[in-house]
Amino acid sequence: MQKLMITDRKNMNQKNIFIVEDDPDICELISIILTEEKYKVKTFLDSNKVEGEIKKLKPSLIIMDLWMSGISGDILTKKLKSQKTTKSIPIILISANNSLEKLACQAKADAFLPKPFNIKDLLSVVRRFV
Amino acid sequence: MAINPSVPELNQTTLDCLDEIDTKKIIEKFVKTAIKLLGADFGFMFWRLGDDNSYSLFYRTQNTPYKPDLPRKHGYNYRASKGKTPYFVSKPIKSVSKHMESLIIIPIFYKNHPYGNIVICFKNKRIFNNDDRVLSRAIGNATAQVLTIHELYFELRNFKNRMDKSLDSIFIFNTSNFRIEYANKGAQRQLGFNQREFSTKTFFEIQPKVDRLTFRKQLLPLTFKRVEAITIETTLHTKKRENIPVELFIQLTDSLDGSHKFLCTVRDLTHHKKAEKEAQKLLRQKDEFFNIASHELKTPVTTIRGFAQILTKNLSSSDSKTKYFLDKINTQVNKLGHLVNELLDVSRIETGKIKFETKKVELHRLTSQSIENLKVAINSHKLSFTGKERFWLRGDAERIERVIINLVTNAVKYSPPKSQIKVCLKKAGKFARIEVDDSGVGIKKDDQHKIFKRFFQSRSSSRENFPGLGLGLYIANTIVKWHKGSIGFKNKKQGTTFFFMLPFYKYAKIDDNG
Repeated sequence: MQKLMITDRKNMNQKNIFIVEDDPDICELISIILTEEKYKVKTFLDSNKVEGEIKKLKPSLIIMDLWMSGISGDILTKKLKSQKTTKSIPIILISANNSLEKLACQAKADAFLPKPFNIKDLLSVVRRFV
Repeated sequence: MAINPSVPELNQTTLDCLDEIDTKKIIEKFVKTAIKLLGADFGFMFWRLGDDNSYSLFYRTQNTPYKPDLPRKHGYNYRASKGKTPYFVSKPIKSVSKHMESLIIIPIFYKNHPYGNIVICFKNKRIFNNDDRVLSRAIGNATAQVLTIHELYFELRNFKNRMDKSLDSIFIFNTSNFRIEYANKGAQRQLGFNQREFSTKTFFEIQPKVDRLTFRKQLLPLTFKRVEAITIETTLHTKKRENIPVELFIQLTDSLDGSHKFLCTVRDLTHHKKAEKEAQKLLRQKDEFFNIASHELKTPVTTIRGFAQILTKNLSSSDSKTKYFLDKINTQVNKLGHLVNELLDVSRIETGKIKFETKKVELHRLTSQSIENLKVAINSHKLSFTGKERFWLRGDAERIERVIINLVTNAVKYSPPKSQIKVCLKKAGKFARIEVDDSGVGIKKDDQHKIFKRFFQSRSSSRENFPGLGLGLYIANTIVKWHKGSIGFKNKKQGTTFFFMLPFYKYAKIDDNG
């Protein structure tokens, strides 16, 4: 039983987490935090490339910034949540925007995390979904 | 107007004086006519001043041989004025007997309003008859009527002049059909119609957004004299088919004949509305700027804090020096984040966009937890909390905690290291009172009325600068006021006690078991 649990946890942490963030430093920061926790991550600095990759890699979780230079996080979230094939993928919206909670609610995101955040807060919200 | 058919000369004088604008010339004409008709030699007129029976010499014919003395109280002039009829003196008056032997004093009265007395003088003795009496009375009446018309005409002309010179538009309109009966020059300039064009319109016709029924309803409180005046914000339609925003100030006025009219003063709000729009635009721009600025500032804070935390996590327990440096970075980054939030809060307060939660809050628990968290962050001072009562209220717990943090942070900032900062919670009537007591620099008398204002920062006498934006107390004041509480301070010999009070709905003492 114990072995199974350990394997399961390893498998869980090998699931893909997409990080969609146009700030390279924050993108790298989140990537390092999650990688250290043995999660497998894929990063996107360009939000326009995300949809295509979702179909190929089927991520377990998407961490998405709100204000991005390509398609914005709330619009992309709304789109993914309206499609049959992608609506079950949990999405966490992150932002320094003061209206994040309201926008996340409107976009039907599964959670939100205001910036600046603590590592433990990020990991806590990630663990709710993977 | 009294026209005496048997005295055509008096009638002619009366008609001539109707065109006369100079009061002195009017009196001159009547005095000369009186001299001629009565066969006198010279004459003069005393003008009555006020109610106390005093006079001034207003006019005398050129051939008056002396300067007439002012009438004495209870003399002949007094008797004439009291009787309101001409007074005839046939025997010589000692003081002026070398100049005249007889005189007639003709009082000038119109409906109990005394103007003064005309005095007609005869060098020789004269025995007066009934014709003299009738003629003298007619002269007095005619003079009084002309003076009254003259006075009214000037009052009206001055009034109209003032109305026309007024920068405000003034209208008088009928209370039953709202027809415009008068529009001053200001109104004509403002809307582009002349008086004749206005007189063909009703007052609601020049208000494009209001119909007759609505306008009548708006004026009902005035019509029934429930109020003295009403103010209505509306738009008026100009001849050029433009609409201008205005404020109407309407009163109901009574005329002498008992009829009522609406008197309306119009204030053009175009500039006011423009300024309002500009101000709103500036507020929106300010809000947008603060939102963008805070977003941009929070981004590097996220990165610095995140990497500092990763480093801290990966440090070995023996590397205390690096840990110390990283703690410093974390503290400063938190401070930066805090400052950004303060700036944002101020912007929200000013644009009216700040939102407060209304949830159940237990103040003892909130305060003691805040103090415990602050003790971890503040090593420089001895922080303590006492409170033996629980208070329940409805409010925003996070924001109330912000007030506590602000007051404690200020106490730390303005008091010497290792000194005590005591926080206590107690009951003050229907309010829960939280006090933060320090033994610091205190608040200078000159600064005391300013400390809750935005961006205010105290400077010590040694010109030492205390860090911060000066927003903490301003924000604390806003939060406390929203909760219908109050905030203040008391200077002590050494240091200050800041306090704030919040109304509670439930209260309980804490026993030894908690």
